[in-house]
Amino acid sequence: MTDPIITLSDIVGESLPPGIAALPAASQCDLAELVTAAVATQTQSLSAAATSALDQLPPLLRWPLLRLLSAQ
Amino acid sequence: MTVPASNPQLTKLARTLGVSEQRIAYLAEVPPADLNRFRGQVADRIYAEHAAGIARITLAARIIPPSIAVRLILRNGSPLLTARLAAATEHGRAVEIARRLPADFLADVAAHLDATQAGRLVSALPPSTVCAVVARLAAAADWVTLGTLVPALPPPLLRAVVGELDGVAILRCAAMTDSPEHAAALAAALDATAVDRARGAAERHLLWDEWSLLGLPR
Repeated sequence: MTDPIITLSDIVGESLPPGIAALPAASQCDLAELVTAAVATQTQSLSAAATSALDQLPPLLRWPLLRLLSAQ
Repeated sequence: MTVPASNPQLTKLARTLGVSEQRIAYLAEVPPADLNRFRGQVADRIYAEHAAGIARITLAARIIPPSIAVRLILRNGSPLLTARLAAATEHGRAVEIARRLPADFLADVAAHLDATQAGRLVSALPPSTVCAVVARLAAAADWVTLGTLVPALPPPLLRAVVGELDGVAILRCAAMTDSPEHAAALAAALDATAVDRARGAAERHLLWDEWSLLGLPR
């Protein structure tokens, strides 16, 4: 079984504040899932909005912009 | 398990995680300073996930003239994407675009910026626009965003926007500030009539805990 303290602190990338580190393992696992879900939700929202923005660009700007994006 | 009505750090963490306060009610006993630090860690984690992609888009989007960018932003209608791009865009260009956006949309964008980003961007806008943004946030009872944004404004602008807030809004805003220093900055911007409004609201709505954060005599 994965150590829940390491899992949550790994996810946030830093050592946890004492009050969070002292939570029961089940609570830390739950928080880890919530953080992961929040990241995924924002990824989905940003991806959908960016795709939609590209579709709405006038063709004269869309292709140069796509070229710039693919060149990076 | 019920969530205490006055647990601003829990409210803010719930907003960052995109869940209800009830969903994380088991954190109610965690010290507020620890909740605040953890919220910052979560926000940084979410932000870092997309930082590279946002930077690439920002770089490429420089070929889009501001006037067209404004039309695209409004048609696209994503305050989240707009906020992330604004935070990564060169300041002058971000301000040029933001100046052309309606206050309602800017208020929605502000909800996705952190205090530093929001303060820097919003304080470069005309005071009338900033006041309209603040009024919109107050009307929507978005105290989390107000508590983050308002104290980050420079003092002259802060004094102007406080004039837009009724007593309850001043107190709710104080409760959602990120630090005692921010609450003190808010208190310092209150003129005598604003203090009276806040005190009156504390009396009517029993918001003395929020009032105490301002450090003003009762």
